[in-house]
This record gives sequence, C-alpha cells and structure tokens, in this order.
Amino acid sequence: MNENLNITPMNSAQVRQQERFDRKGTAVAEKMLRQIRELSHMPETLNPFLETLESIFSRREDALRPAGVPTVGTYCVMVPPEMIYAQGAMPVKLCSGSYTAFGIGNDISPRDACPLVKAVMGFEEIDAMPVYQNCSLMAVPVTCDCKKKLAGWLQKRRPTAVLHIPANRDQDEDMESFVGELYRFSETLEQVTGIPLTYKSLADACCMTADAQYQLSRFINLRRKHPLIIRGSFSMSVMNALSYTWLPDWTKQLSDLNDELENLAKQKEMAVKENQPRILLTGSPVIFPNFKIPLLIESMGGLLAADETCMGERGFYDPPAIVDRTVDGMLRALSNRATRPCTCPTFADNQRRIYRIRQLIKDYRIQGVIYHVLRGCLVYDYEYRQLEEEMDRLGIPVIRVETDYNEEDVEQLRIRVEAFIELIKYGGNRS
Amino acid sequence: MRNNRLFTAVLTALVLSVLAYFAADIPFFTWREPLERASLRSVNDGEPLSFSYSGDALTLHGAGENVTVYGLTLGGMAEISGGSASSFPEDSLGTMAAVRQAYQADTNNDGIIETIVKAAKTDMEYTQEYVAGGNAFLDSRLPFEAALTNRSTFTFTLNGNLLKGAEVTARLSDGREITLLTDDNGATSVLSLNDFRNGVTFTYHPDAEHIYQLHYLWEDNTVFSLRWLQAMMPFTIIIGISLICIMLDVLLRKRLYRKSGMSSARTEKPGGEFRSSRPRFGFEMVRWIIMIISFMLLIWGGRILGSTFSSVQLPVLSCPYNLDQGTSAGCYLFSHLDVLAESPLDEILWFAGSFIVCAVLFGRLLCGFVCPLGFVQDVMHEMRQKFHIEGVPLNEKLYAGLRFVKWIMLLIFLGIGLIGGSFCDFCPAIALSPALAGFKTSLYFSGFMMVVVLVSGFFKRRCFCNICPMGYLLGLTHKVSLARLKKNAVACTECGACYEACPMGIKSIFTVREGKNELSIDVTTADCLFCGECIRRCPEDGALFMTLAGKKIYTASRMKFMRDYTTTRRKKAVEDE
Repeated sequence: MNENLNITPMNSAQVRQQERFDRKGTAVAEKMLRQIRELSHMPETLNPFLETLESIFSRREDALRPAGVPTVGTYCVMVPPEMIYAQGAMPVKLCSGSYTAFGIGNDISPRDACPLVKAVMGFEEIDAMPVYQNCSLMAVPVTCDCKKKLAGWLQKRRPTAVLHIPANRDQDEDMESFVGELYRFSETLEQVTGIPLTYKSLADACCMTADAQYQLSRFINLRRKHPLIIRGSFSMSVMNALSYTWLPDWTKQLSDLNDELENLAKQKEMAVKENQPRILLTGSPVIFPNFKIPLLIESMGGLLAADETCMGERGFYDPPAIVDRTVDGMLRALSNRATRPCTCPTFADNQRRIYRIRQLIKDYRIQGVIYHVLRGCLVYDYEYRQLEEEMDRLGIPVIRVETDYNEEDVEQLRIRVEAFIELIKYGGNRS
Repeated sequence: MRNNRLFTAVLTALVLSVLAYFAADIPFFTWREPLERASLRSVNDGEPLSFSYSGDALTLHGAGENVTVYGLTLGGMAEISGGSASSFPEDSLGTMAAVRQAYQADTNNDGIIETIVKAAKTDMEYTQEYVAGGNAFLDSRLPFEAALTNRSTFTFTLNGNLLKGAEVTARLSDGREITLLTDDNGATSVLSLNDFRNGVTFTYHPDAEHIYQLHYLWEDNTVFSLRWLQAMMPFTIIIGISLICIMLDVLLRKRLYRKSGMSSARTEKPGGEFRSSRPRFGFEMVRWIIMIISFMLLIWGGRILGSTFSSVQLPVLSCPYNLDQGTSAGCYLFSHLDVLAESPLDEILWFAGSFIVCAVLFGRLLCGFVCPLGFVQDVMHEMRQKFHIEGVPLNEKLYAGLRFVKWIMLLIFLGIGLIGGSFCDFCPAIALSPALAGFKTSLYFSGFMMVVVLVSGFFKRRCFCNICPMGYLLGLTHKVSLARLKKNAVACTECGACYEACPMGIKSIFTVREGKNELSIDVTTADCLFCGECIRRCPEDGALFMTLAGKKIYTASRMKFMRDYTTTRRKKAVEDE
C-alpha cells in the first residue's frame, strides 16, 4: 500500500502517530474481545464471529474473500450490499469505533464532529488498517452533516460515490430519486469492477442476502425467547462481524449459531436467570471496538435483550420486497428498503422509530431503555425527547447516556448504568 | 401548468366519451349477420327427420316429398319452398321446422292404428338470447311443439295450446330416455343444458290413437371444434396485436435508453431465475385456484354444470353475450339503465338483490377472485415476470390520472344507455368471454379496448381494474363489506412494500399511522381488490392482516416472507413458523 501513496515522506508527527497506533490501536480491541469472551454462556459457534473481529482489529488483516474481489467501503445502511455483490465486489462497513483512530482524527476535524467520523478520518490518515486502505471505492450516503463533509474529504483521496438521501420518504418522488441514485451508483461500481449490473447478477446477489436475512430472521426469533438465550453483546458482535465477512460465510456461521441456540433452547439452557432487567439499547451506532455500553450493561447485572442501532440488528434487518422481478423492479425494491423503513434520524419525519421501539419493547419484553448518544451526534440527540415522552406514557424508564470514544468516562457510565439497573430491579413497575 | 392539466383532462374526457358514443361505428371485427351467412338444404338420406349444423350450414336429414319445411318469420310461419335456401330474409327469426305428413301405423303392436306426426325443429344460435317465451310457431301445421323458453326450460304446446300436466318422453342423443311432466304453464326444466346439446327427441302419446314426435336441435358450438376456432378468431387477433404492441414497446424502450445513455441494466436481456419458485399452499394459491375455477365457470359454466343461474346477476365484467356463463352478468343492466327501467319487476329485484348481496358481502373481493377480466390481466402480469421485462411503475400522479379516467368511465358506463349508445360496444369484456365460449360476437371498439387491457395489464398489473366502472360500484360498499384489510401500526415499519406491491396503488395502507386502535387500524379502501399482495410482501409479523367476517384469514409473517425470498431449503423452515 505504502508504495502507492509515496507523495510526501511522512513527517515526524505522522511517524509518531503511526507508532502510537501500532502500540495502542489493537489493545482496546483485544481488551473488548477478552471481555466479551469472559461473559458467561457464550455459545461455541460464536467464535467465528469474534475471530473475524480479531483478525480485522487485532491482527489488522484484510477482510477474507475470494481472490480478486475488490472491496467497497460503505458508510451507512442505505448502501445496498446486493448491488455491490452483484457487480463483483464485496461491501465492508467502515463506520468506525476505534478509540485510537479517533485520537488521530480528533486533530484534523472540528471539535464538535462526531467521534465516528473522527475515527474514520483517523484510519484514513494513517496506513495501518488494510480493510480501509484496500478499498477500491467508498460509498457514502449523505445522511448527516458529518457524513457529508466526510464524503467531501474522502473524494479528494479516493474514488468515492456520494449517495444523496432524500429528507422525506412519504412522497413517491423521494423514493424514486433514490432509485436514480442507485442507477448512478451502479455506473460508478461498473467503472471500478468492470462488471455491469444485469438481471442475473442482481438476482443472484439478492439470493445471497436473502439467505443471510433468512438466517437473521431465525436468529431474531431466537433472541425473542424468554428467558434470554443469547446475550446482547454476543449478538452485537455477530452483527458487527457482518461488516467484514464475505456474506455466504457469515450466513453459514449464523446458521451454525442458530442451530446451536435452538438446541440450547430445547434443553432449556437459557443464557441468564429470569429476573434480570431486560434492557433495550438504542441511539447512535455501537461499533466494535466501542462496546463499552453493552459490556457495562451486562456486567452490571442487566440483560441487553435487544438493540435498535444501525450497526446492530437494524443494519441488516429489512429485506427488500421484490415485487417486480426485473432489474428496475429490484432496484426499486432496494431503494424502498434503503429509505422507507429506515429508522435513521436523518429523515425529517421519523415517527416510525418510536413505533419500532414500541414494537421491540413488546417483542422482547423490555423493562428499560438506554439511549446512547455519541457526543456530537445531533440527529440522534434530537430524537431523545420524543422517545422520552413516549416511554413516559408507557411507563418504561429511559436514560440518555452520552459518550465519547475514550475510556475515561467508563467509571462514570458504570455508576449511571448500575443505578438505572437498580431502579428497574427494585423500583418496581411504575406503571 | 394548471391550465395545461385542465386541458388534458377535458381532452381525455372528450375523446373517451366520443369513442364510447361512436363505438358501434368503429368495428374491430364483425361477423356477417347469422341469417345472411346461414344456408339450408334438405337431403333424403333415409335418416330420421332431424336438422344438423355444419359451420353455418343447416341440413335437414330424412327429407322427402311428404315433408314440408317452415321458417319462423315476424309474420308467422312461412313455408320454405323446396326445403333449401342460400340465406334467410331479414324478417326470419332463426327458427326452422320440418313436418312429415301424418301417417297411420301400428308402431307399438297394441292392435290400435295410431296417427303419427313426426317433425323436427331447430333454433339457430342467435335466437338464444334473452327472448322471453322463446321462439314458437304456435301453428296447427306443427301440432306438437317444444320451445326453449330459457336455457333450461322447455314449454310444450299442442296445436297452439299449452300442454298442462302432460307426460312427454325425451330421448337423448346418447340413448337415455327421460319422462318429463309439464307443469301448469306447460313447462318443464328437468333436462339440463348438456342433455340436449346434441339434440333430443320428444315423444308425446296423448291417447292410444295419436303419437307426436319432435326432434329438437339447438345450434350449439362445441369447444375445440372448428366452429369454436372460428369464434376464437377475433380474440386470437387481439392477442396477436397485443403481442406486437408489447414487443414494439420493449424495442422502442431499448432504443430510447441506448440513446439517452442510461445504465446498461435497463436494456439488458432477460435471463436467469432467482426466486425459488416452488408453489406453496397459501392465500396466493387459493386465490389463483378460485380465479381459475370462476374463470371457467363464468365462461363455460353452462357446459360444465349443465345449467346456469341466470337469475343471479353477478356484478363483474364477464359478459352477458356469453350465454353459457354460470351466472348472468350484472354489468348489462347497469350500462343499460333504459332496459332496466322497462324490465319486469322480478328481474329488477333479482338484479338489485344480487348486486346488493354481492357488494355488501364481498365488495371488490369479487374483482380479485372472480372477475375473468382480472384473471386475464393477472396472467399477463405473470408472463412479464417470467420474461423479466421492465414494467411501468406508477406513482401517485399517474394513479391520480387513472382515477380521473375511472370517473369518466363510470359516467359513460351509467349514462351511455340513456343517450342511445351501448356500453357493450365499448367494453373490453365482450371480446373475451363469448369468444372463449364459442359465440360469434361482432366486436366494435371493444376489440381495441381489449388490446389496451392486455397491453396495459402486461406492463402495469391490473391496470384496467383501476379504471373499471363496475369495480368502482362494487367498491362503494367497502365500509360495510365482510372482507377487511387491517394494519397493526406499531408492528409496521413503513417500509412501503405493501404500496409497492399494490396493483391499485393504494397508498394509505402504507402511510396510515393513527387510528382508534393502533394495533388494528382498518385500512380497507374503495379500491382494494383483496388480492393479498400487500400481506404477501409484508415482512413484519402481523403488521397487515385480512379478516373475513371478523375472522383472520391471512396474516403477514416474516418467516413466510423470508421463505418466499430465500433459497435456503430446510426442514427447519417449516418448524420455525
């Protein structure tokens, strides 16, 4: 990689950064993985997912894939993986949770930018992560202000496709404009991979994601079991591993995990005791290695029963409803899927997120909601008040937890999360 | 901009109205008048006295010197000299009779000499319309006569007087003998349509000294015969034109896209299959089965069941010109309100009753499950899916345009009869159902309309249903009909799949979020056909469901959705449910 970027020799600051990253960068990831592995009742078939995270973040390897397949870095859930697979590439989700990269990006971005984007910029700045460096194309949907500026910043360095996201989705024109974006994106992809979008390739790719989403649906059904059969930190690892795994492999791994969980359920070997508070985590994305909140919840005696975050279950949850079996029909379905059911707060009207959370509360018998806000993530912060009112109505306690990408606030968070869990445990049901 | 739209609207309305009014002057395919193309000849071949049909040619068998041939005209019974004719005059009513001079013999060996009168009678096909009372000579030259008053009732007369409480033996073409007993009107409905399709011989033996025998044949088409193929010709032409239109459209679009430099995806050749197309038993399959059954019953019902429920006027666009259909079609009287006003009271009551019952009980469920025109459109849609040809996705604006056309169609439908036109000359259904049943029906503008229905139905699913006036009238009762479509707004993720799938472009199903009970909001609208596509494409458990008389009959399920979508075949899939 380095020989490609021999524009200027690195100055001493960059060298120091690189050294610092080499020293500390992997430490956090390893620590988080260790903490995940230390949790009780880890299913054996979870290992492949943790292996993937380990290889990417600890051993700093590139994503495993068939030889000769380029990767396309994607930044939000609106980029349809079906199209990327169809045109002969592999999507990797590059939204980052790395504390070390955040430290580097902090120096080159405004103070109030969100840590996620800072971390991405940090990784871009140093050549240490092959999964970032080897991308042939970046696909950045313009969801929030930070992503928009990130897109501009990336455009100067690499081939980047910017996808315009409509602000509304109830009007037909909104969705149709995104179909146009997808056609343009397909052309960009073709320039990179040389493979055009055809009915056959797109249909095959849809099959691929269909199989994966089928397994995910089984997994979700298992997660809804009461008492809980798999810890939230585990399932969030599964979803995070998806970002860097060749999809058929992930499908296979998840299928194995589902089989194991089904067996466990049959033998009534549930993961936890019945009486622990069941908690829903929602808000800004929780991205490996920034797993401090899920791990805190589970180490403080809470149960992370469900999550509503875009790097969690939500990121791959919605299947496209292919009504019309043609290329155009499939792209319409993908565009529909990318915009309409999406609970990303970037959309002007997002009432559906409240409904969605209400449904999750019902499906997973949630007793408390933790609202995760990354510092600087305005759109998510905006929606907290609305959710709080709704939860107040339902009598479900909710707290807002603001964090940054560092480990300094862990102790403070621990006190708050612990108090919240105690509140649910002993405060009785206020409703 | 506003003016422009108004202009388009007025122009559309004007063009459609003019086309509808002058529809009878725009022939698509016309048959010569049946009387003009028919011919009659008599042969003395020693067979029993009977008529037979071959194409349009009528033959009298067993003719001889002592046989006289008569035709029924407006002026009464008229002799056809020589028993042959190359065509019939305009005042003919399409009914022929041949009578052999009475002779005496002892046929049953009971020692008494009987006077025997043998005769044959036939009704040509075009007389088989709704002629109250049927065609009867009521003349002493044909002493014993049977008249087909409707498609399952015979009325017997002797010398012009009704035969009340008489015993008549019917000998069918397959050799069976059935004894019929006439009622106070001299009528009997024991024989089913299929019993006398190939002719029937009635014998009346009033006393020891008289025997009357009448061979009756009714000009009948036989499916898959040459005659049927002839009747199918206009419909075949329509299919041909539609295919050409579709191919032209596809070619044109390819050229256009190539010029404008659109992505290659749009011009790509079809190929490959991605969905596991295993048929699975469920709502969709039940709907297809019901559609196929009702298609057959509404087209060949008389042939399959042997009789028709002609009093019931099912309000769908099947066609009253097809006399073999299982029930009558309510569309005729709706579009001919002038005829309705002059109809006898019992027919008006049957008409109103069947409409109200159908509309209240089922509403547009009939469109989704029963209507033959809807079935044909669904078949066209499936064909497009098979070939992966890009369709024409409609959005709100285009649907609004169609809604406007629907209003005009409704106006034409209800009003054209009152100003002297006939909707049947404009209605596409007439091109389909009579032809498939073997009736030679002349098509006027209807033929072109059918092309429009097929082509538009190919590119946009159930396009005609969006402008169908009959369907609109059925949808009026959507607030009370038994079938209901409901939505659980909390489970719904507003992914819009239902709206994308809906052939009628009902958007409220996707946008409605508020209601008395959020877990069960009634989203039934006047347009809903209850085709269940929205529920089939809904990936959320219980977000959409259909109830019939309060009972859940079809509920959206994620696992069902995923099983339709995935290629993974596992036994587990069944267990997961």
